[in-house]
Amino acid sequence: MNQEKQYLSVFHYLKSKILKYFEIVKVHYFSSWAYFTNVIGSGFTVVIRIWIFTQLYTISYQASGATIINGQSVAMVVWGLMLVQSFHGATRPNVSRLIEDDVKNGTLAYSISRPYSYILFQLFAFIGRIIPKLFSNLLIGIIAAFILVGPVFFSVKSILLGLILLILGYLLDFLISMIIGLVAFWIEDVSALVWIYQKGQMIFGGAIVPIALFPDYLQNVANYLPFSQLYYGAARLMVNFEMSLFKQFLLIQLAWILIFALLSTYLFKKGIKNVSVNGG
Amino acid sequence: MSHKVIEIQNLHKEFSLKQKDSGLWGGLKSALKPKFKKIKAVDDISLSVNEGEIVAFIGPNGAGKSTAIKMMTGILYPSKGLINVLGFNPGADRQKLAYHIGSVFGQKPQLWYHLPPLDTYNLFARIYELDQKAYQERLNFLVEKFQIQDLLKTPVRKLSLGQRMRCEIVASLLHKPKIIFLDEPTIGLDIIAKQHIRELIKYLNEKENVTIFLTSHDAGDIESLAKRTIVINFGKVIFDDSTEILKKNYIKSKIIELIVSKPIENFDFPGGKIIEKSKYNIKIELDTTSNSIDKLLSYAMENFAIKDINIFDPPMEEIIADIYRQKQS
Repeated sequence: MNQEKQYLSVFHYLKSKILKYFEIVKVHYFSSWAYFTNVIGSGFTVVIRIWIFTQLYTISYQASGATIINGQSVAMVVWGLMLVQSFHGATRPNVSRLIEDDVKNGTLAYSISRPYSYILFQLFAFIGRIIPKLFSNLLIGIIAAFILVGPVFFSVKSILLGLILLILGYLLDFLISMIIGLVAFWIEDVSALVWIYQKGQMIFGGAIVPIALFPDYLQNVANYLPFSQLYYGAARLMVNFEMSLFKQFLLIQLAWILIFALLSTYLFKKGIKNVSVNGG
Repeated sequence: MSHKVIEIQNLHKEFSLKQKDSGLWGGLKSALKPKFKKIKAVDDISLSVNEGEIVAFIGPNGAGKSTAIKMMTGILYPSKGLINVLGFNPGADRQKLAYHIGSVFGQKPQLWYHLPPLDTYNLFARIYELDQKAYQERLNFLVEKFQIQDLLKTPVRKLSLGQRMRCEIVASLLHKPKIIFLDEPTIGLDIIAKQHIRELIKYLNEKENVTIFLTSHDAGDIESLAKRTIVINFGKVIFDDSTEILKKNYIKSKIIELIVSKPIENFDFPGGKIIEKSKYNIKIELDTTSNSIDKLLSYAMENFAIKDINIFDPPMEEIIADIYRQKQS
């Protein structure tokens, strides 16, 4: 009887926590729709980019005389880039900037006196903001890729396992961006760090050149960096699934997530001790 | 007998402000060898508040009132000293304390800017883990009391300042807090909106026995709400007594501004001192201990072509200067 009561109270405790963070997702989801043109505009940015990539890779493949390079056809490259661009494009506004603003204008200080975890709040707010743009980007991006290069084959398995990598990729991106934002506790402007992170993503994140097209030695390096594990891993496997690569990417992702989760928690705890709020 | 809900002993808060010389060289020097200046925002404050009290916590800009409130609500860590709010140490137990207190910071909105207040209320109900049925009842009650039925579904960005403040206060009351901290709740509001907010604060205190800890620049808020006033200046408490004593001893005058359509040639009213005069505008400081505002207004209406009248309290700096003067003598 007592055990039953304990289970029940644990159930209620978990339910209230889950509902709390679900509501945060909901509020940010609806708040994102206030910027409707922004949501739709993000999808059209993807179209412009993949149109450029289609021209670039069609000409490059023709010049090399090959139809498949490192197991990738032009269609696979374009679909892969479309997915990376769609996944990544949904993360704006930049989490680092939002956290930096919260640190500087004191919102973070006010938030910590509310009954929720600031880091989890930001994570679920991030999820709420992503959803509208992700669906809009994918919908517009898929239509554009279909028109530009025709279809590629997606298996249910590749989509489902790719989805796991995508969710973990978003978590990894969130944690790195959170850390950059939290650095604002100690430095006045985090723009330089944001810039380095964005360029890292551009080069090693498969946003312009798929890592599968890199020379072998560079592929090995890029695959172990966190940048490729944000969105490239998910896109690569959705378009061209390999079980061994999935296991490798999953392990690398989990390792980075652990490192950055510990680092962000440490920085957050250290930072809030230094909180000073303007005014008073 | 009422018990203490807030106890503060020898509270200190120091901030380190980075000092930087101007120009490129100054920036470089500051990056290599940063210099900090220590600012004492709160300097050895001790006070206690009983359950059900309305306490006004006042002082000029930079006096340390908001810093003190932020330490009481767990937003800032004290540099030194002890704080106990409802049995909790706010710095260490801020999240547990959050379920029992409410706060409204006039300059820091908690409502989502692009969403209607109802969405924020629903979020807060989840954040404070309220039972949904109890939440609905509480919301219905507050909506009716604060007359915000028509505002619930309007995006916050489209509300006026007074409407927004009413909605902000409702947000902080959903979880039935035992203490509510109000930091400048009437800032920027017109006189009618101010009066409305004051009535609601009074109601909460009288009917729900909520302890109110209020900071304000507005002497009107203090006079109409608080039985007890604490005055703080340069981080120190310089007055802690009944508002009646503060009024009697230190708020002895009112500033009356008359705007006229025909120039005033000669203004002569006993106890009224002209402090500013232009062709169509005159400001008079009236000693309210021996003269009444009614009489001055009747005199003005009879003798001048009045277009508009404004009545102000003396500036906070003047009240504080008076407190210091009396302490020294």
